[in-house]
Amino acid sequence: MEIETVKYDNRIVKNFAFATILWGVIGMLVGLIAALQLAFPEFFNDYLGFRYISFGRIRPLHTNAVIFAFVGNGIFMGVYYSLQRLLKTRMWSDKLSYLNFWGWQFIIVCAVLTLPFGISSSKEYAELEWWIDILIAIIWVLFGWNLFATILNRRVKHLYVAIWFYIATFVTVAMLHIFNSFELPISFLKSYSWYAGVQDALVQWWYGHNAVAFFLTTPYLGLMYYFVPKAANRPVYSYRLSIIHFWALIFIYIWAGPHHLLYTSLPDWAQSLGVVFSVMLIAPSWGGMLNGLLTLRGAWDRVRDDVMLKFMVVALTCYGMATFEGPLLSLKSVNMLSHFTDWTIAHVHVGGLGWNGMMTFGLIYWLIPKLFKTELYSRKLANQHFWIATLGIILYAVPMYIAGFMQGLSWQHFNPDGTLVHKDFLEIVIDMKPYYILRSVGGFLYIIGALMLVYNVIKTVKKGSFAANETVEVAVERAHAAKGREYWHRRIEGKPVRFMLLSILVVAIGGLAEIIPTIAVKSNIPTISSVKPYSPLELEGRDIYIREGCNNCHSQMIRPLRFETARYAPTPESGGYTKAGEHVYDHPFLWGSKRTGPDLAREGGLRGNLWHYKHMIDPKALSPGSIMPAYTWLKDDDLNTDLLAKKIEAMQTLGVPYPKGYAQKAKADLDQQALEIATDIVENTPKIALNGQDKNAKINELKQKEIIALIAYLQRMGTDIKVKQTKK
Amino acid sequence: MLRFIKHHLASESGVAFYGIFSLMIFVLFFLIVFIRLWKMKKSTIEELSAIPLSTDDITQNERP
Repeated sequence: MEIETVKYDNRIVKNFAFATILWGVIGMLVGLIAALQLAFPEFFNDYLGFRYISFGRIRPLHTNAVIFAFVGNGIFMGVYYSLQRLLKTRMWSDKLSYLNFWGWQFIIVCAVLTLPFGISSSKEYAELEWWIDILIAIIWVLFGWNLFATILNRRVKHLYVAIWFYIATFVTVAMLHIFNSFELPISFLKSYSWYAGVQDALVQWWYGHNAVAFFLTTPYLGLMYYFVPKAANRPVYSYRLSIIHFWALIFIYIWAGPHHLLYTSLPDWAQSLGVVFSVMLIAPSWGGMLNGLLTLRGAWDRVRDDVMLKFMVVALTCYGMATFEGPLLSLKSVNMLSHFTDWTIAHVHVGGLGWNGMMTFGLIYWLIPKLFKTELYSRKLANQHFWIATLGIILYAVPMYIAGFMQGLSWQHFNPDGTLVHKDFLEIVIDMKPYYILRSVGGFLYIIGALMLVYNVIKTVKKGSFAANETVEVAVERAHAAKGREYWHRRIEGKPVRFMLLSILVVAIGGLAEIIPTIAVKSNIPTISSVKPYSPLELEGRDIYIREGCNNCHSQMIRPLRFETARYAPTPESGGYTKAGEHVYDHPFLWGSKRTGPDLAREGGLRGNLWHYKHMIDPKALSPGSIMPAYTWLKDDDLNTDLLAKKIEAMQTLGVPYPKGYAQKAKADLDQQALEIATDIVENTPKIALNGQDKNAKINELKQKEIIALIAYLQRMGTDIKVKQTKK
Repeated sequence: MLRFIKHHLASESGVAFYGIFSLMIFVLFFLIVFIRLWKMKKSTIEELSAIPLSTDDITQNERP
């Protein structure tokens, strides 16, 4: 054994740790604002009425901030610390490390500067526009390059199980992000998804669910396999189990995406595939959780004293809860009740606040004293943080579960005569208020805990001394060529590149088996001859719908269930449940995943243009108790049609059958339709509301406004397959 | 590119083949993993699981 001196890079770990804390607090605060908007809509919607923080825009900001800024930086923090030590090697390139750091922070700032302004592609957890998507891909690949170069340069023979999880995270996130971000840019700030309708939905949820799997789970499991043994000072409970855990998890997870689309117009076979694999997922998930918890066998006395272990135990317990619930929610009978309700919100927050949040806090409490070569400033404060955070999680989750059950049950509640008990969707929304308030309290407590951590960390940093490089003398064991009957798995491990290829293969199988048939088999999507492309005005209106994030609260997917059709498509003429063929021209699809407000798939023609006009400006005037924001700016701002020709051409490129050369004629059609809608609104407005203004002047002013385009889109929804064509 | 696949996937029955094929891959894969794990040496496992705890490194802290 030769001895070599290694300098570990601690500065990069420190940078990511501070970024994690900063963005964590910001992301949680944004979440709290979103929660308060649902609890106290009067204050936020009527009193403030600030467009940049309206729920539809701020909700994507919250999810992106927490997933990519808080957890993302947390991943890099843990990986950069543990990787160097597990390989006894400094990161291969400091330049790449710091490019990764600053690049990632730049991406986060770009998100903060675009999402509140309605610059969004509308696809959940992938809302960022095309050039930010490219940046993410580049920075992610640089991180992977540095990761691999470090692995290839290592001073140890074997790759510990944590590193397999890092490798799988890197390759899978790259694959998911790139495939889901295929979009056609039409300007610097606008693009359209390459896929349409059902295919877009499938690719999106293949990505969306696996973002949970490979961004929020696998890297953190890797960190768990390093830091839990480290903190407990004993080896992982079962290394054999960790191998099964790894391969089973990455093999099965990738298939589970369609469970987000149960009872939708996704082909049945794909839905069933998603269910089967989701149910199987409980095995590796619980295997991993037990492996973590059993590592503490005989060390439970340490849990009492070591605050980091406390956080870890709660994190693992929440992980166990969330991964028990996931398979449960993926059963069609359960999903019928849970889908579109706050149950989903409870589920993701047990994962987010419990698993990711608590794990991150534990890591920070353990790492900061190590980096600053001192003791934690206050163990008592950290303990208080632990309890207040745990209480916050409970206060968040329990009301959301109750709210979710109430919504699900109320939506499907029938009178003996076969009519809906809660005919008005709004009744159920109003009943939610106490639960939304309690949830906000839970979130508030959780943030208080995070601020206690901030204080504790600042105090610790102040009394410690930081060394950018940690010098260590290590015994070197070079990876050598396999001799004779060396154990098989170590052979894979000993060849990181081969290992990477194998993990790509394993995760690609699931993706290919689901996505290729859906894209390739024509019979998956029966065509409906009456479905036509959107008119230019409707297309512009749809983009406003995307900009304002309407799909964050309104679904466009009536499931083939009696209580759904009774509510949203009650008459034989109204088109019934949603068909796959209705969405063939939807780039991107807008099915939504949550119904804070009612479904809009059959909204077209149900109400007059004037109703929509008034409702957008002051929802409460027409629906007393509504929690929808007032979109007053839509009536003030002129519709910008500069990109219209480009939009039509982009749609043609994507296969939407507009006539040849239509891009040049589109503006005339748009003006004509806008004039019709504006005229209809003014004609139906009582004289008194016109304030003595001349009708024609009013029409000419009104037809230019954004609200007219949005109304055109709302009035179009679902009309293609309604038997009686409604008057446009 | 897709036309190569389309040819084989002209109908739902082509899709059924996908399901069966997937199941076969799945079962085979895990069989191999389990068999290999079964044959693993205890000493190897102990060596691997001790990696994060390796205490043979001598740390010297230095000022930057």
